[in-house]
Amino acid sequence: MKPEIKKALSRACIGFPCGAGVVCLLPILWGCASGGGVCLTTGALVLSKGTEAGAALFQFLCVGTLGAAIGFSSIFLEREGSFLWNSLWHFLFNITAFTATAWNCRWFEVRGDRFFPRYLGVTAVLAAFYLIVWAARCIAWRSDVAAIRKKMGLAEAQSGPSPLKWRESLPYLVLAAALFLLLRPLLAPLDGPDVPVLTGLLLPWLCYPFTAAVAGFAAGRQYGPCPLLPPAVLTAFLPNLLFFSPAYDLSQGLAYAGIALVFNLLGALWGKLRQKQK
Amino acid sequence: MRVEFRPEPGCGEPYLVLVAEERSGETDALMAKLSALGTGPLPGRRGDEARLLGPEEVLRFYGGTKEVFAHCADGSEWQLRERLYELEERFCPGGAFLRISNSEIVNVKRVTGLDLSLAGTIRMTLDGEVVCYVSRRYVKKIKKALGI
Repeated sequence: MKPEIKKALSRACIGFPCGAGVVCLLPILWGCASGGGVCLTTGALVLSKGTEAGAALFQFLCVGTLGAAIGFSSIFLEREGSFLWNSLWHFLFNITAFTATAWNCRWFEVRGDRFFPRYLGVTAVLAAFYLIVWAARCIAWRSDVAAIRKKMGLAEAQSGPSPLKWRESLPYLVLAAALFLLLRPLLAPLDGPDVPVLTGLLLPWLCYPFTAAVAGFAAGRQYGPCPLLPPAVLTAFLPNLLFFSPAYDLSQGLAYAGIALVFNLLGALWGKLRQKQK
Repeated sequence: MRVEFRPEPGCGEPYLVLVAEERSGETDALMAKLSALGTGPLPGRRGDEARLLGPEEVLRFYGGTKEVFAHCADGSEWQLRERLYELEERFCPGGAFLRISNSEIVNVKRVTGLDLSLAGTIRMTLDGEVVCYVSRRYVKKIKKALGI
């Protein structure tokens, strides 16, 4: 057996108890935090399996298998070659395993809701995580490659800047867009029903402006003015308008796009001043 | 500079150790010169043909654990007796060569370009438009070897 297959199988063996452990622990933590009772499985699963114990055991095995699949799939990310393809395979493998588990365990059939809307929401959040990881790693590798290139006395990138600098600014666009898409659905369930501090105050007044500013400044410092960044920020903000409470306004999106633009230009200026000093 | 000789019975091939307070450009240059003393020509063969290859004419060494080849600047490729890890021990410490992946060692002076694609592959170009790929796992080691 190939060493990497052996490695993947051993990770799968570790993944099974981890997955099974999480499915037992999460409902207990949720129950303690919300002050309600502990409910290990959904009502729909209990109905289909007949007893709570049967439903819990079935879910235990399913999520354990999901954990094993996640452990096994980590091998994709260790392969050489295109990180983009390896990540895509990793995502597809895991989303398939997650879909099978969610369907069998009836996770998205709460209060008679249909499966797909919630499932698509979770899939979108997971996809956004992958995009964030890709963008962050791309930015880190670029920095490493630039440092090695400089030390070896090599010329900068062999071809000139791409149109509208789309290639150079892509990781920053993706990072900013993913955060704008991801933070709201992640924070919304954690917010209090009466005073939504997270989505009403923290997100619109701190997180979003900070994300726009940092992405703009970092891209500007590295590559100069990046015209695609402000429209990308505005576009990524738009899904936030679909949430009803607290309601956001289009003018906020324009403000964030403006922040991205201003900080991008400041970053470009900073980068130029640093170069002149050197 | 103080020079000392320390006999060490059973050490096999003689080796040099440079002692300094900290690593600097001067120590790196000295190490490169001293390493070059042990980097004599390599015997290579191609079918029935045999030739001594000078390290300066080699673009890269590549291969697996069993067969290792030297790709020269004139485009010729020669099979070597040495294993890749032996070539690494012999040529890399001085900084003239750099290991970029499990199966490749490149001549630093022959590198003409280094680019990162959006897919995450790091493409290194050598003299004569020869292309090879840097393993992402080796980036940290390369930075360390270059003193970054």
